[in-house]
Amino acid sequence: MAADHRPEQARMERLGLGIGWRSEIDLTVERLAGVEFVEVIAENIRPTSLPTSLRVLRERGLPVIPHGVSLGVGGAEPPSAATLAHLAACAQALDAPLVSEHLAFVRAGGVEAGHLLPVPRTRDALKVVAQNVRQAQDALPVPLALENVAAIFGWPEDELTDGQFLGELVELTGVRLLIDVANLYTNEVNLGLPAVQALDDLPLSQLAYVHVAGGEEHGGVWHDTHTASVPEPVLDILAALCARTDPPGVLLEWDDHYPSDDALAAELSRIRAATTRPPT
Amino acid sequence: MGVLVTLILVCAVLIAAVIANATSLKSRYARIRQAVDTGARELGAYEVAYLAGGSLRVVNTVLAVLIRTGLLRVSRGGLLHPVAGVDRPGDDLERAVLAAAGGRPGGTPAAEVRHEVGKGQEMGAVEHRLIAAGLILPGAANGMARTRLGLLALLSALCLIVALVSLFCVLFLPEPAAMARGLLTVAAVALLVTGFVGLRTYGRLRRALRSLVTEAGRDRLRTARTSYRPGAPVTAASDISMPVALYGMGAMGDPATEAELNARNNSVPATGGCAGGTCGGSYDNTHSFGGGDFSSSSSSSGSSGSSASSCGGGSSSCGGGGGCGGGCGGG
Repeated sequence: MAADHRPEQARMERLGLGIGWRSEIDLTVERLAGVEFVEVIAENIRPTSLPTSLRVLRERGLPVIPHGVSLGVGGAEPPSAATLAHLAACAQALDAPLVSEHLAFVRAGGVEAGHLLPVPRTRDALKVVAQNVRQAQDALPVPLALENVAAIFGWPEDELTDGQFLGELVELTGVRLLIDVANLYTNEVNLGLPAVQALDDLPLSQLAYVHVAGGEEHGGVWHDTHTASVPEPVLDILAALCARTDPPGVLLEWDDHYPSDDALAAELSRIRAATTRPPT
Repeated sequence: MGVLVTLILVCAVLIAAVIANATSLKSRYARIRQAVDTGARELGAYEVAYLAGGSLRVVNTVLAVLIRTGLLRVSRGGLLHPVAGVDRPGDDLERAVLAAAGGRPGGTPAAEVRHEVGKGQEMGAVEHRLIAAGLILPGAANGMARTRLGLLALLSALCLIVALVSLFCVLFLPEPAAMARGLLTVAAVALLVTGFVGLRTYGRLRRALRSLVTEAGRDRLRTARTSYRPGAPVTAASDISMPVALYGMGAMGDPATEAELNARNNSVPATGGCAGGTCGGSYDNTHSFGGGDFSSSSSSSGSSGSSASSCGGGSSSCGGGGGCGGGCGGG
C-alpha cells in the first residue's frame, strides 16, 4: 500500500549550519567548529562501507544527509529502482533524517545529459513529476527533499514559474524543499529571473534546508562552480529567505579548489551572520 | 700433508681478508671522525632534519610545516592536497612537496610524496650543502662500506668456524704428527683472535658507518638539541620545523594527522633502497639520530573507509550517469 503523501506542513528537523562533506576535506570537516550537520553525495559512498570520517561524525551525533545527483525525478521515465534502493540504503546506513535530490531531468531515451536540466514547467509535466516523486517517496525510508536547480535555459512552453511548479508539486506530494540560493542567484544573472521574488512564490513551509555556494562570472555568465567564496548577492538572497522563514538548516557547498581550514571557517561565519542580518 | 697446507693457507687468507676489511672500515670511520665542520653558518631546519633522520625526516618536516601553516591538507588515508588560494612558499623543498602533493586530482598518498621528493634534486641540494659543510660524507661510498661491513662479519664468523674445526682436528684426529698438531693449534688460536677482533670491530663500526653523518655533523645535532628540548611548547605554527626535524613527526603535536600520514594503506612504492616512503639513497633511515618518523601508534588509523568514495570530489551539481565526473553545472 502506497504511503499517504500528506500536503500539510511537515515537521522539519532542526539541522543548523552545515557543510558538504567531501573526502578531500574529511578531516577538516571533522575539525571545523560550528558544523552541525553535513551532506554527502550519495553516489560517492557505499552504504555497506561508509567512510571512516562519516562514521566519526555520526558517532558525534551530527546528522548526515545523502544528497543524490542522478535520480532524475524530473524525467519522463520513472526513477531508477536501483538508484532509489541506493539512496534508501544510504539513508539507513547514515540514519539520515531525510534524503535530498534535484528537481531536474538528467536522461532521456537512454542518453545521459551529464547536467541537471530544468523540468518543463507545464501541467502535463507536473503530473509526471508528481508520480515520479511519489514513487521515490514510497521507496525511501525517510522524507525526500527536492532542490531547485540552476537552469542553463528555459523551456519555451513553460506555463508555471519555478515557485508555482514547486508549490503545486508540494501540494500533490508533500515533498520537502531544498532551496539553493546560489541557484536562484544564477538564474537571476543568467536568465533574468528575480531571486527574491522567487522566494515569495516558493512554499517555504516545506523548507528542509538551504544550499549556499560560490561561483565565478565569465563574460556576463555566472558559473555555479562551488569553488569560490560565497558572493555577497547570494548571502543577500539568504538573508531575504531568512527574513521570510527560519530555515531548519543552511549548508555550504564547496566542491574543489578547497581553501584553508580558516577560510572555510570564515565562510561558515559569513553564512551564519547572513541568516540573522536584516535583508537588503 | 697436502690437506694441512691447504688448511693453513685458508687460515692465512681468512685472517688477511679480515684485517684488510677492518682496516678499510676503520679508515672510513676515521674520515667520519676527522671531517672538519667548514660551515660557520647556522643550519636550517631541513638540514638539521637530514642530519637527524635523513631524507625521510626532511620530507616529514616539510610536511609538518606545510600542514601547520595551512598550505597543505591531509585527508583520511594519508592523502595530501595542496590548499587553494594561498601564496606559494619560497623554499625549494616546500615547493617540491606541494608540487608532488598536487600530482593527483583526488589527493596524493604521503608515501608517494615522500618517495618523489626524497629522490628529487631539492633533496640533493640539501645533501650537497651538508657535504660541503663537512657534516655528512658523500653517499656513494656508503654502499661500499655496507658491503665491507657485511663481508667483515661473514669472514669473522668463518674464522671462528674454521678455528673450531682446527681445534677439533687437533683434539680428536687419531695420532696427528706433532708438527701438524702445533701448526693447527697456532692457526686455530690466530683464527679465534682474528674472528673475535673482527666481530668486535663490526659491532663497533656498524652503527657509525651506516650513517653518513660525520662527528662534526653529530656535534651540530647535539648543539641543536640543547636549543630545542623534546616536548617544549611550540607557539607559532612555523616553529614546529626544528622540533620535528630533531625528534620526528611526534613533535608536530597532532597525533591524528600523524596517524593519517603514516596510515597502513599509505604504502611505500615498491622500489629498492627506499625506507618509509622515501628514497634518500644515501642514508639509512632506520638508524636516525633522534625521534621517529613512523610512530607505532600510527598504523591503525582505520582509514580504509575513505577509499570507498568511487568518485573524487563529486559535485552536487552533476546529474545523471552516476553523478560523478566533471563538467556539470547547476546543482
